[in-house]
Amino acid sequence: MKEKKLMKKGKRLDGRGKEDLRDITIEAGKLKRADGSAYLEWGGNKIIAAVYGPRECFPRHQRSPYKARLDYYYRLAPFSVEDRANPKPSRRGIEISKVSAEALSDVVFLEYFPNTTIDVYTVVLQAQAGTRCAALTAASVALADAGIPMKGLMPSCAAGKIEGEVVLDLSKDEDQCGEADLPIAYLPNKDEITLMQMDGDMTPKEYEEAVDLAVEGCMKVYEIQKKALKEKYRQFNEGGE
Amino acid sequence: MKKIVVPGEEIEDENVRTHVYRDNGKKYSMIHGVLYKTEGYSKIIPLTHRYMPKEGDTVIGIVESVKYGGCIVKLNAPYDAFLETREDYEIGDVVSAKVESVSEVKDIKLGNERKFHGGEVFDIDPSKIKRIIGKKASMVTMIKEKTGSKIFVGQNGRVWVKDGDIEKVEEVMRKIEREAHETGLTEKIENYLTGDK
Repeated sequence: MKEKKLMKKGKRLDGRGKEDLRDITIEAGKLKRADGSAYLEWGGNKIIAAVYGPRECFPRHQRSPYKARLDYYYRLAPFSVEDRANPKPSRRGIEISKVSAEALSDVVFLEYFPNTTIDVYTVVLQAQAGTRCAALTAASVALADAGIPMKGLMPSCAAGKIEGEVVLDLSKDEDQCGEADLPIAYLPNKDEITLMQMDGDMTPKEYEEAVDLAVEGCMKVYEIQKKALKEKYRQFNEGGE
Repeated sequence: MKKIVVPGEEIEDENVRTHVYRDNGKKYSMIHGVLYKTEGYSKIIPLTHRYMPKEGDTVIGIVESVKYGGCIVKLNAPYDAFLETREDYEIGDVVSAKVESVSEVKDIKLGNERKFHGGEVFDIDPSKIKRIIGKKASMVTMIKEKTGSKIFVGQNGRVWVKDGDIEKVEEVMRKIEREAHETGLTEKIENYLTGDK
């Protein structure tokens, strides 16, 4: 007989309700050398994102006279997980880089910079479930901080299923012992979903519930992203002159 | 009135025409910038951006390679420029030049070149160049007077300095770069340079 562990009296292991996010802090412009950067803490996740470019695109055969290329690097630092992570790009890392690059390419006005590359680097310093969403959230703040024209900030958040209930923003234990995980990235002002992946099983009804919940979570993350960018120039006296 | 805007923020002001895009009849900001609003006139100024060469700009470049009939010049931009010249240039030479043409695939041609002898070059954020020059060049003239340096500011975010107190010039320009979004800057910098902070 399986013992119920992940939910107790409607509360989760870390005391959150079903629709609560973990604590998120974002700081924009953390790195001096990068054109744009952001540091994010999301529960136990610690992620740094840096943006370089647009710069000339090499190798030459990959450039396009119509638009810029967007490269996204997602890496787990060797010390970020319980066992040492091999620093070489893993199958998982390459896949996340690919889908994240595609999500961000929908958001950035790439056609403004023909024949160039924009590099987005995200390094996970400490991982605790939901790193792809956290990395995308940080990357989108870093892109805005670099002054690259975008359709909007793109928050990202996951919903999932634990013990038959749909919950927002899975923690590490919930991710490992839960039944499903559904990360999405969302563009609020156009009401578009730019990234969606799913792991596990859900019924169509649960799936719809999870998408709605994740979008709701994204809107909360969006407010934090906006605050981070405005906070960078906090001495700025609004309304003056 | 002024206000910080982030990408995707809705702009209700009809007068704003740059750095916005339209979607479903609504206007949104494209960049992280400041929305300035005065009577009958509003605009968004980016807080930071990469320099994009524009026809008519005066820029400072560094010669990267010498070809037959000219040389390739680095401009602190996503694209390198070509300078057609008969004079001899060496790799690493610093030149000021005017952007003569920019094609739609960003082939950039320079002209009206002038070579710099000696001095130092440093890069600053291109979006802060207007503050460094000041209204009718008030800021840069003041810095020249106070430090006794020769200064040349390129639109691409490069500054060339020779003679006088070069370190002081760089220090002051970094200060302007950091505080560009604040008001009363020329006065503040003047006080900073004369010593009574």
